[in-house]
Amino acid sequence: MNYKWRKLRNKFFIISLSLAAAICLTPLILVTSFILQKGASSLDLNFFTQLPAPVGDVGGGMMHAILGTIYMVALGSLIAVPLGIIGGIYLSEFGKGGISKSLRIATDVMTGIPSIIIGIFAYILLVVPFKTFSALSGAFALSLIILPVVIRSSEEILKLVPNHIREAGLALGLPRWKVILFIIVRGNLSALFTGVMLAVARASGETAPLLFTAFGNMYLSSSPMEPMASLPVQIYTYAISPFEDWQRQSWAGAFVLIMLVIGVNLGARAILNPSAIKEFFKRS
Amino acid sequence: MSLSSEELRTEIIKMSALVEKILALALDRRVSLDEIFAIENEVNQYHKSIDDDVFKYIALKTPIARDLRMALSVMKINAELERMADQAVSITHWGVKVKGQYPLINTMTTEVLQMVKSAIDAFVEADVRKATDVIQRDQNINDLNREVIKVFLGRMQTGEITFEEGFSVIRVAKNLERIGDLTTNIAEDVIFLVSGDDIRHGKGESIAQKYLKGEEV
Amino acid sequence: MSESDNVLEVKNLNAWFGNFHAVKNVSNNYSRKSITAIIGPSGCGKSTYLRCLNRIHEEVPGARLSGEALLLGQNIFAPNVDPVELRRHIGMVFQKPNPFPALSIFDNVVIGLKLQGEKRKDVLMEAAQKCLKKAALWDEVKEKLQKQGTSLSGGQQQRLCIARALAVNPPVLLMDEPTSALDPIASAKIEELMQTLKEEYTVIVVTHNMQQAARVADFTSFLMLGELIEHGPSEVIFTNPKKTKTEDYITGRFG
Repeated sequence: MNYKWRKLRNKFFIISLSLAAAICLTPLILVTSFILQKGASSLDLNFFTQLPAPVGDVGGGMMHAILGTIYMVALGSLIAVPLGIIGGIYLSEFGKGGISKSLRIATDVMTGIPSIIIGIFAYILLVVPFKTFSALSGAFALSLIILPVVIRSSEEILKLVPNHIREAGLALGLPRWKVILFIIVRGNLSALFTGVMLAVARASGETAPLLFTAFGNMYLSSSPMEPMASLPVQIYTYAISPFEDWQRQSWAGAFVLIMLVIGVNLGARAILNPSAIKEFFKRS
Repeated sequence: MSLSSEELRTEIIKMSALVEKILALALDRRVSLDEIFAIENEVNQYHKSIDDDVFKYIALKTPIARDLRMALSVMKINAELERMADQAVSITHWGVKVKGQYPLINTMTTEVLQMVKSAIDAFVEADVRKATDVIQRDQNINDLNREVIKVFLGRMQTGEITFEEGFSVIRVAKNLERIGDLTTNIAEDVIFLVSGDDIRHGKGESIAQKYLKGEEV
Repeated sequence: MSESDNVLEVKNLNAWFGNFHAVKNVSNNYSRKSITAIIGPSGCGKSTYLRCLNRIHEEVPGARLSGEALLLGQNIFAPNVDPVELRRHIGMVFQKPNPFPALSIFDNVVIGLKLQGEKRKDVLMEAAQKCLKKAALWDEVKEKLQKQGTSLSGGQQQRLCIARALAVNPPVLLMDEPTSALDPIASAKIEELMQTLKEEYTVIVVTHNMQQAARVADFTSFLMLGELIEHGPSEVIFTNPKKTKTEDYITGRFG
């Protein structure tokens, strides 16, 4: 009698957990498929190769925004990633003093700051003195978003390295910095890279900080001191416009953006664990 | 640490060669006492060093199964070989006083020397059949010893031989009989070493029979 | 044993973790081409003692030591001695086999040499071959030197770590429970290896396996609660130890 009830309760538990998991997946699936549906129809080669058509006209593409996102994310990463990894190394290898405690708190706070406030900060720092919106300020804002994530992920990854590996390096008669650089960091490059990729993926989707730093541009710009278009901002601009064609294009843009983010995420995981990917394909 | 089962075995074999030598010399009355004592001294050195080696071997290597049986057998055979050497010295002591040649003694001598060789061969070759053969043949030695006592008591009573002569002969026979017992002990140790069976005190005959017939025990 | 036979002389070594006095006034000598085992109950300070000898102990925050240790006549705890330099003369193998991640077998063996500045490929190759042979691993890996160090089995990984430690050619090799993470067959191989190593190096092994100490070591030290209770040739310690505490421990009468 007891046994039957227990089995029943077990089953019930499993079913409700599976349901909960499915519910969690639903938003992602819904959003992606919705955007796919709406956006895929507007996707054509033009989208990737042309600049926007004159206002009101049909046609044109978002090449400038795609390139702009890539440019600013790359520039922001260039600033933030080396700093972030070094910060992560410091926290993991020397992480006991007062500086480390402050750094950790600061990092945690930064990850929680609303991105629009980061945008305002970059505005005050780089837009106002130079009296111009610029790609540079946009990249700077993005770097402030990337930095704390890279610091924390690098620290966590390096903390996973067991201490006796460090000791083994020291025991060979190597100075601490060589042990850190050439054994610890070098031995975990792919994991660190994944952490960086995840931060980059997040930054590429940020809209608010770019609103009043890079501001946006209808033309392709190549100078860092000029305003530059980016996918999120362009999507926003088109979406609130009255033009149907622009709205269609913003769906396409949303689709491309989501694909970019998902792609970078999956790519980062594939690099970290290529065997798991092979398994996945073998089984299916 | 170079202590090993093989080394212990080698040491015992060297010691047994010495004991065979001292026995042969003891029964050859032309050999001097000094020579006998020199070999007995060597045997005693082996006696101490082998025991010490076995002790260290067991403490340091914690042997089990075959290796443990080898260590224990070596220790026992060590003691038995040393006693054989003692018996050899005793034979020399009494043999000096024996003037005549007696076929009974000669038979016993030949038989005992062969048994000693067989027992040691049985150890070297780890041959259970040879070992059981030795155990069986001990019966002959015991019989021969009883015979010697009977015959020589008689001869002493009739005055055929002097009391000193007769007594010495009986002592020599006793020593030989004792050596026979010791070879039996060695043979039992060999059976223990090879098969793990303890055939002492009674089970001996029946198990020995089975070994001789080649049966499973 | 004459003075000149001692490769390492430890005098009055004390070690602390903060306020905890882990090693109390231990003195001992280690002679050329020998293996010394250090045994004792858990937490008795034997690993701490070992880690003082190559000054890894100091790398732990809050840890300190005092005393002298003369390596071929020079005090390695002197303030002007560089611990990094010292560790090239006293190598260490750890309990858990720890080949460096994402490095090949070959790279693992030579990394000590490489990072000390040796760049010539032929020198590195020769060193790798020599040390892998000394560690009884060469035959098993000579066809796959480029494979990951972590692709080897546990016992092979430990031998790789031994080869790696030998590559920088230290006269003294410290081993901290080198076989506790290994299965019996792999352990036996390492023990066999230790016997050959002692023909060239001075080996000091910490082990919680007394039988291993008895099998392998020429000398055994018994530590308890940070103190050196007894030290002597293994054949004395395991047949007739002088101190009751030693005998109680090795016969399993406590702890």
